[in-house]
Amino acid sequence: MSTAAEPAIKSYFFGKGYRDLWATIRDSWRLNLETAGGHFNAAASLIPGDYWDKAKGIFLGTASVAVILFGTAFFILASAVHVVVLVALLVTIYLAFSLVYLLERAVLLIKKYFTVCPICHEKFDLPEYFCPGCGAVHRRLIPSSYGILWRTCRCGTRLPATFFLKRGELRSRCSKCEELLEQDHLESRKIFVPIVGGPAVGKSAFLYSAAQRLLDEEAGRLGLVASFAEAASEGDLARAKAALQTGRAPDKTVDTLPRAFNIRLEGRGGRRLLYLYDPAGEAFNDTTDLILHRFQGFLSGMIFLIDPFSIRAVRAEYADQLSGLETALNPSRLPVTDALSRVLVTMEEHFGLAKTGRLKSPVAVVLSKLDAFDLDDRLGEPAISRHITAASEPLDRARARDSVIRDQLVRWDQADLVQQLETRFTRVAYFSCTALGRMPDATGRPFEPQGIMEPLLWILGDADRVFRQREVA
Amino acid sequence: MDDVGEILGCVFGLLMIVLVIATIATAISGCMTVGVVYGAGRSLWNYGLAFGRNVRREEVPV
Repeated sequence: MSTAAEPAIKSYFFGKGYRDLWATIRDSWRLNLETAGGHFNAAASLIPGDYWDKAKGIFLGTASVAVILFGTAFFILASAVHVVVLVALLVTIYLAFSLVYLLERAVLLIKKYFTVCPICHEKFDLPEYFCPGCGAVHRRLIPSSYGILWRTCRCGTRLPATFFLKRGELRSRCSKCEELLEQDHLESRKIFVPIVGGPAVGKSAFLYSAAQRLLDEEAGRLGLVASFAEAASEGDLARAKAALQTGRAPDKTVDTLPRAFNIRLEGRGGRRLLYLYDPAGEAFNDTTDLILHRFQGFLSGMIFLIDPFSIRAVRAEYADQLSGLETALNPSRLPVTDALSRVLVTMEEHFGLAKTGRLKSPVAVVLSKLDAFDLDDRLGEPAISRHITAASEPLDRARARDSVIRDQLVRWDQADLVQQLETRFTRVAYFSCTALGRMPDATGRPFEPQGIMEPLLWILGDADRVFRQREVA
Repeated sequence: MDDVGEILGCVFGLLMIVLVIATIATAISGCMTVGVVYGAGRSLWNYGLAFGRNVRREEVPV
């Protein structure tokens, strides 16, 4: 526990009690010396007088000696009692706040609550809280020597010092970057899903389309209530939605260190906060930018978007049709294997992944831009249905989809990519989607995304069983 | 008889001396006892006074 001073009043038995004890000893000694000195001087002046004066002199002289002797005895005895009482109460309070603190940590651990900043992506146990009275920052608002359950700010405001007393309702900020946090950033189960892929693979369109669908339809179907945890995400989605409804692609992400897109999901099992990350594709051009993607240290899963037109074999196959549609299709220039390798290298060098280790979090490999040419027929639902029909034994749709897309990637000379994915990730599933539903044109018709929820729900279902309800039903 | 009278006079004189010394000693020890009790009480009072002056809860702004 930190020993840094807090803007709060410390428990009497951890600070002031000892200062008071020392002041009492000093003050009592000063009084004893004054008394003894006064009596001794009076005795000295009375002794030469008559018998009555002599008697008074003896009385005062003895009293002056007795004050010193008994003063010492009382000081030793009373100080010992004082110290014993102080230490006994200190130990009692120390045990009490340690117990409450440990209990709080245990409950937070069981509930899987921890804090992750949506801006700097730092993961920590405790944010910094603001006093609602004076705005002072309390860096360690926990059961401590400042109070077992409550503490008093220097301004006099009482603050709850524990999760059990709704500490999370106080305004708080990230202890690293000082960005303001919402209660959901602290007290909720969290799911972290970055959308990975090179520039122009369609990450932003995928994120906003999936988020809109989750908010509008899927959450309700799963028995959850979805809402925005913060205004920033709501504003971003409103802008993207306006663009998608008028047939424009969402604005390109420019930040290589993305702000998390948060969606709150409430329902059975409590509150959850979904962190979706959409870094600019340029972040995957260089591992340096990826080091700051700290969410890679606590992934729930990863959506790896592949623009089929970033694959040389696909470009060659569609060379004739591509010539006039390069601008509309906007093929990604970053080779797929490069993007994946950079993510893996970063995780090996900075996030503890062994050189030959496998990531426990699942990866959804999603081929995007399914709306182009005949890709939907080759990789979409029609192809999957044909594969199931042609199979010699019963095949579920997920396995059929995996097979269709995986085999096509191998045919497009991406066997290395498939091998890398399947050797470095414990669970891999293949999907295809069109985040826009059609190729961008000048008509202004709204986009109609397809196949965007399956990969996200597969990842969410792996992270939290509440998202598997639909599959069970 | 004279000897007896002398001896009795000496004894009486001695007794008187002892009595005077005992009275003085008693008076002195009485003064000293009262002085000790007073001194002890005073030192206890001083500790109580110092305790009352210094031991207080930290004041909280209102």
